[in-house]
Amino acid sequence: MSGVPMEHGLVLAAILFALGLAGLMFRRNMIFVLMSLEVMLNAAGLAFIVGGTAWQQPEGQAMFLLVITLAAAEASVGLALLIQLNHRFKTLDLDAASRMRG
Amino acid sequence: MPVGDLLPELILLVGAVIIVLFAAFSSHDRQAWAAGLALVALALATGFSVMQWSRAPMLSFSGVWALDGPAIAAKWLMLFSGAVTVSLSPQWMRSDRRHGEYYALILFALLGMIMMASANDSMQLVVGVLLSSTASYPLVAYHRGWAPALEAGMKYFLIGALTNALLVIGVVVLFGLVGDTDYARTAEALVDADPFALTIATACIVLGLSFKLAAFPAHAWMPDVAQGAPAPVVALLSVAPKIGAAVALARFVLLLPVDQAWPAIVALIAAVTMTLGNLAALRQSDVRRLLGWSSVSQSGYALMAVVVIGAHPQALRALLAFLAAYALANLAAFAVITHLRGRTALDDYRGLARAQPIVTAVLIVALLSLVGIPPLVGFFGKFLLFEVTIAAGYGWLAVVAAINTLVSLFYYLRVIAVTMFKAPEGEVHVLGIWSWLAMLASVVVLLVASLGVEWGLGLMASLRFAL
Repeated sequence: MSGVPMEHGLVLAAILFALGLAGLMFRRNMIFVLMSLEVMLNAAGLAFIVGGTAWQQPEGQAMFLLVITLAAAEASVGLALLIQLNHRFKTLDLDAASRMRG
Repeated sequence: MPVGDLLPELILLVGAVIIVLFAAFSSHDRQAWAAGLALVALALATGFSVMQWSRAPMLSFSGVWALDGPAIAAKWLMLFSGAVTVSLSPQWMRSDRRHGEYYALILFALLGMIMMASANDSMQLVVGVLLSSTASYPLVAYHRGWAPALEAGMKYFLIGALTNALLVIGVVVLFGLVGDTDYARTAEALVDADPFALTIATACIVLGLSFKLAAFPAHAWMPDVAQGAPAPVVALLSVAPKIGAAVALARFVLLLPVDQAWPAIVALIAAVTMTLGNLAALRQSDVRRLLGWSSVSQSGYALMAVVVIGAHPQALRALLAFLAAYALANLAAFAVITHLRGRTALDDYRGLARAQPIVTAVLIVALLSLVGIPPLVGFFGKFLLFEVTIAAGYGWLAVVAAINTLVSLFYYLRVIAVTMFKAPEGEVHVLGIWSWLAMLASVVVLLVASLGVEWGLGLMASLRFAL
């Protein structure tokens, strides 16, 4: 087994996830929202690796690869939306682009 | 490797790749041909999944992929809604000169939703949910020059990204508890799992799937998408992800130990979802938004069957019958809206019955089926739901649902009244022959399903999850 105890990895993942969640909730700039999203998904990936190591299962590593790939796909779609958003509304502020109500 | 077990899904994948290549190398006036390719792929996939029906329920790929009645029935419904969406699209997308990839995105989204319904492994559930979400965001924002479409796409993306991340966290916690992602071993290991961590995992996974279901608390995207996204896309996204997510949720909650509090939580979500959707739909003056909220409330009804899925043997049949009835009615309603070039303000529907009698008739049939008026298939779906809910001891939930059905009658009838009893204003422009045919096909299937409901329910009576 590696020298890093399991708790350290899990605590780091929890901190990263909380940071990402807070960023997603409180930031209004679309770029920072996308970055927070990446941080959250990577926290989940880290937790998968820690879990996989603790159980001695290959699923953790496989899941990490899948999560990373899907996070990249999601982020690229998000960036494309961001470019169109900036083009149309001339701002990256999410609240300024929000007009539909009810 | 039993690759044949995956043939319908492989066909969707290959079809989507061919469409991407075709769209990249063909001229602008041939982009709509991709719709034909997509229809061929959908027809082939349906054909192969029909061949899977006669086999006994089984698990394939070492227990990861479920090939059972619920998965295959859900697959048919999703492929049918995909076919209706594709046929509605070529004329709707005419203004967009490069739209070949649009059909590939539809196929990818369908592939993800089918994976959700067939997933017997939490790893595969995550891949299915994320694939269908990632392919759906660009579909919603496909009219990139139009501000409401972009706004709807952005909201859909933000809510989706947050709930998908929570879903992944839920699966991580589950994996940490169990040390495996396979459902069969998960169910074994969960019996003596730490209840606190299991509650967190369950809450995160239910939350992640509630986004695909458009159920409370992740329902906020549905009305915006219904209003802003291209109308054919709404027909797909208000139907297919819900079917996939409802089956996935039913499969997941059955793994949990019986003493868990999950039925109460899901019952609460169901009650809040249907009430919220109906109350919000009451004050809409925009038909697409109204149907968006109505589709939120219909998710609430569907969740009633998930609540009692472990307590009543016929709950699975009720769930699938209700989803099928809802899917057919909602597809017909959005086909009408697409055929009317997406007209959306309620005032624009004045006197439609005189200008377009057939189209109005289709709309009325669809709305009455959504309420659950007796001869139509929607009634049987709802009736079965009420039956299993009351039989399993959730009388209060059935009462809430009954009150909600009464309330919903009011706003559906308001739309019908406007089309029937107001004087027509101006000309009614329609889209073209393809959308007309797709609309007719969906309403014919709806009527056939209403007539053949006994046969259909008899077919569904033996539905079981492969475990």
